[in-house]
Amino acid sequence: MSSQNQIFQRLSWVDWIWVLIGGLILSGCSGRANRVLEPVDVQLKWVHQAQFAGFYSGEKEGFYREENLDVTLRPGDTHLTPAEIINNLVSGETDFAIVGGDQLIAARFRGEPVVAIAVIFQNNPYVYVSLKGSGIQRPQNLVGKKVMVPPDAEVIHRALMEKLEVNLESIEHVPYERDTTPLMSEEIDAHLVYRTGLGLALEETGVDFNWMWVNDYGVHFYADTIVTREALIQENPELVRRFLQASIKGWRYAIENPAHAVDLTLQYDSDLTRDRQARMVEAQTPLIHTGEVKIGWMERDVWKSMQQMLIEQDVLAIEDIERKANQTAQNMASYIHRHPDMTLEELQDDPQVWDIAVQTVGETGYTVVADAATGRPYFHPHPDIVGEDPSQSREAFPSMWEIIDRTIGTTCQDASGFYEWSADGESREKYTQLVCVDAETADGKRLFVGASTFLADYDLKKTDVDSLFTMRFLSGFYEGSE
Amino acid sequence: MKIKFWRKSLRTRLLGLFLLLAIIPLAVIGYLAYDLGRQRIVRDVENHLKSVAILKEQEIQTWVEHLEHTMLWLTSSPGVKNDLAVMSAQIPDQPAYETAHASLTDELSRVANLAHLSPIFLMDHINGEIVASSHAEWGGQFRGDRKYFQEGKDEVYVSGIFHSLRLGQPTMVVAAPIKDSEGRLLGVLAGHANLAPLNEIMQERSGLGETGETYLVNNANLMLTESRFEPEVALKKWVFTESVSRALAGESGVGVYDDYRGEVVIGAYRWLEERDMALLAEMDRSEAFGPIIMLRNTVLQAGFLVAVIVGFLSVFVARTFTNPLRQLVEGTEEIGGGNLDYRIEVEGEDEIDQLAQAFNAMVESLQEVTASRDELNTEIAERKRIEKALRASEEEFREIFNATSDALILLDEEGRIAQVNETASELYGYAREEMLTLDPRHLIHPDYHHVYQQFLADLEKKGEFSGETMDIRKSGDSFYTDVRGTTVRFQGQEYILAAIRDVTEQKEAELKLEETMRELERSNEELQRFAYVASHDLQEPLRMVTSYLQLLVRRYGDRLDGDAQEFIDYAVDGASRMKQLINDLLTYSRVDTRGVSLQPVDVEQVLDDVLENLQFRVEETEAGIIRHPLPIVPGDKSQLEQLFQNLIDNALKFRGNEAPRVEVGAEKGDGEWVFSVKDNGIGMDSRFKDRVFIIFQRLHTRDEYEGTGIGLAVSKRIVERHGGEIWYESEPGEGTTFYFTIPDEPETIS
Repeated sequence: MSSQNQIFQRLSWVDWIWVLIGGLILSGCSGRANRVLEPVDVQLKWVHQAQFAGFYSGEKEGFYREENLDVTLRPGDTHLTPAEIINNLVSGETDFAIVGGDQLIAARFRGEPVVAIAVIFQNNPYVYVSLKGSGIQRPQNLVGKKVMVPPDAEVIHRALMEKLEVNLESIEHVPYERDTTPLMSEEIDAHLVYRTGLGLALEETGVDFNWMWVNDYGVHFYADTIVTREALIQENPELVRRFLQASIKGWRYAIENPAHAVDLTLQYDSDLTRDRQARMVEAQTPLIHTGEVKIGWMERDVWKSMQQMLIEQDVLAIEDIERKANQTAQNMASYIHRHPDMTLEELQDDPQVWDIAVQTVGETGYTVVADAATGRPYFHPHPDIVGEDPSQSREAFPSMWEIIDRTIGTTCQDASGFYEWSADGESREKYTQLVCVDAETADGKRLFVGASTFLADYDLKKTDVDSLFTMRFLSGFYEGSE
Repeated sequence: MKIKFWRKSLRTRLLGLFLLLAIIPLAVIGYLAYDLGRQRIVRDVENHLKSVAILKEQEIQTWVEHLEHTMLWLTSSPGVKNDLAVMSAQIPDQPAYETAHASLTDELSRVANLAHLSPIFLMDHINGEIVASSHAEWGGQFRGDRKYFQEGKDEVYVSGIFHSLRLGQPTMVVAAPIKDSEGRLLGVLAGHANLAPLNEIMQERSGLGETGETYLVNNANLMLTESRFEPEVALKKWVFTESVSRALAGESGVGVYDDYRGEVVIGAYRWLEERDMALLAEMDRSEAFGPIIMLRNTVLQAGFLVAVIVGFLSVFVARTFTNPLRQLVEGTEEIGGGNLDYRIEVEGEDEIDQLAQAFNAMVESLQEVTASRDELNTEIAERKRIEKALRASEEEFREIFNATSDALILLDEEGRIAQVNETASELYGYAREEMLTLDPRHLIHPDYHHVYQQFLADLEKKGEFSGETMDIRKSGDSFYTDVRGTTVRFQGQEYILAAIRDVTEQKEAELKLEETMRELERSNEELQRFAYVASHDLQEPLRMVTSYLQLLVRRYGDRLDGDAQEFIDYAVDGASRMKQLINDLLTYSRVDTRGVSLQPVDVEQVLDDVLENLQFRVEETEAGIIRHPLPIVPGDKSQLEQLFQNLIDNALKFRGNEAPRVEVGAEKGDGEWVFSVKDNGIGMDSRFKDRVFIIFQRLHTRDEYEGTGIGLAVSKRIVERHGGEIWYESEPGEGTTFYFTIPDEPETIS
């Protein structure tokens, strides 16, 4: 600063004129450049609401235009799965996406080339809520209580309970409803809610609650994260930098001008209620920014602990195994539909069917196609097992057959679960996912697909924490502008 | 304009001078006073803000130190240590643990309120799990990832200000380790500091006026405390002002800049190293520098007042000086305008009055000298005009001298050639320089030297001369000259300027013409004499022929046959016609020779006589004669009668089918009368022109119209003798008008 001052003092008025002229020329240039806006598509995580107020501010207050960007904000919906959001990003249909931090890690785990460039929601909005007088003041108190946990929050819930050394079995999990009634009517004792979703509805009741933030109990789990594909970072890092810069300015604007942020939100969906959105803004601000950490900032330790949680909970493994089973079942079904005249024997003679039916799972696992009525294997990587009477294996692997028995019978039902695999005097944990094939062979056989592998496979496949995110753009912004 | 203004009026200048003398020192002193005052005020404001900032920093420091001391006191409390040690040694649910926990909880609850650290909680030293807290619901939390836990394990730590989700408000955490007597870490005690005292410190604005405020900003440019101007900005507003940037760069200072509202403020900024935050003390420039504006206004008002007073005084003083001066000026203007009788009023005895007296005296003497001065001026003007004319004529003379086509020779008073022009040098064949050495007589043929003498005599007598000489060229050829000379004054000396023109050709032609004329006159006279003699002498033999023919017819007529009779008739007819011819010829020749001197003749009378003579012919032809008034002219009456008779006779003779109508008139011309005789006869082709006036010239055969053809020739001769001219205008079949002129005054008849 002092050196800058000296420079300013050394400039004569003539120099100032040159500086002015230069400034005019530069501003003229940028004025011209402004006319050609670079189109950018952004996929939001959810429908339009104040959750994305910072992006609306970026667009409506001209921060994106300042960076020569023409940003299209695409709202999400219930039909758009996180996997699809990632697929669209990778394919180039969209350039950026706002997804949960866990969704990014899962995508990375699947090998998708996507990277986080900033985290908007530093603190996870999931919060346990209990009635004030219930005596449930901390998650440890949930033992023996009825709790509703949304599917999206299961990982966090499990991670927290693990951290608190609370046995999940000791909690009575009640199927989730997105409704305030169960808690208010004391049908349940606690509800894990999204602070800016159901949390606002609870707040509206005017009743006093205990709010138990997962973050206070050692589980730090990033929520809304800006991700992009690796290719875009390589091809056009400047675009990424500009988008991030404008987005952070947009978020700052939204925080500084909460009322106007609500106005802007209502421009995207006029059906929203102003009061609800205003309270959403108020409630989410400390989640985005507490004053300790800069907006968007990411910590390697947090990413690392998140990844750790996901792996430890086998979430990633289970997801992978499920995905393999579902894919194989779908492929089998469509092949049989295309060849309705083929009998099971004919299918078994067709090498193409083998290519579909037997897939590797994880490092050591595989898929098997078996009879939906009896469990007799028809397609198996070990030829001598094909067609074998299941009674033999039933004796050897009773825990596995507990799961298979849930599937086979007069009607086929999907099933999954962990089981012990003892071989060579060693017992290791395996996970299987059984999926029914929605088709019948010409000779009336019904089939199911089983995918299973050792969970240990996935420990080996731990992805590199550093590949999850890049600080390059955030650091550039904060060092450059401040 | 400026100069004009300053020269315009003494009073203006005096007034301006007084004002300048008053205002310049006033402005300088006023400015200096203002500037000193301004600097002083700026310095005061700066110092004030600086000291406010320093004071606030100290207050914050005191507050934080108090918190730290409280925390250190708590962590060193033997009760707390003991309880924690017991809890560390036991596991929960054991009676000893529960006792210790209850004791610790009591202690924490008690101090929480006292120490303004609420909630206050104790974390185990491994995971940061809250094992005891002033607030029961805080138990069981894991704060192992918090910086205050990590830092607090080593020594007392004070966090920055942040928003606590749990508390739902901005807060600050103070943490310190609890160690046993052997220095082993048992846990970390932490408390949420109540920020109210800090806000009080920052919002205490005494001495900061209406717009002064102090606030804190963290290293992320985030505002930590509330603003005086905007609600709820703590942790919700980023401040990117110059002062914050400087403070975040570790500097402390003071400056004028735009604050977060865009208002221009003067502010002191400090970087609080230990707190990792910037402290700002700001005040709107408009308020802070309000005294400067007041001072400026005061200075300006005072200055204006003094200027007005000085202005009035100046006007008064200037007037006492300038009024008599103005009278003086008016007097001089009056006198300058020509009124020399005017006298300036003298009232007092001061310098100006003395000046007026002197002026009056001067005007009197001026009045006296003005008359002679006027004459002098007139003469000077005249001389100047002459001089100018002279100069101009000299120039002109030179040009003409050189350019004229006549040979010019300039002789000086002694008669030497002083100058010649180019034409002269060419004419005489000498170079110009050569000619200047010659005696002028050398150029003149010796036969003409007497003419030269005559020239000099004429010059003496009349101042000019002219004449003809014969001159000699260098080659020896002689030539006739026409010489004109005059005296000229040139460069103050008198010269003779002679213009010589070679008239040799002219002279020779003249001599030849004279010769021819003389020849012509002689032959003319001879011819006239011959004509007269011939016609006179011819009449005698012709009369004999006629007489004898008549005698022959009388005596031998009856013996002659028809043929002879016829032949004789022919001869008689021929003789009588010859007689007529001779008579006519005689008449023609007599016009000049027999003419009497010209006397005033009444032409009316002439026409009366002519018509009387022609009475028979007029009646015979039933002609109508129209007469217009005719003048009296100098002339030969009988010849004029002849003239009119010839013309009217012709008019009657060459009649058309209609009865002849003859119109006679006269009109006054320029020094002459123009007579006209107009008929309605057969007319003449104008191509005949002058042929009709030639003697014996006929246009028609004798069978058609009788006559010898001499009439018009005689008429022409008569008119010419009177010094006039004759012509006609005619178209065939349209009649003819003869015109002739007779001069008013008789001329010498050639």
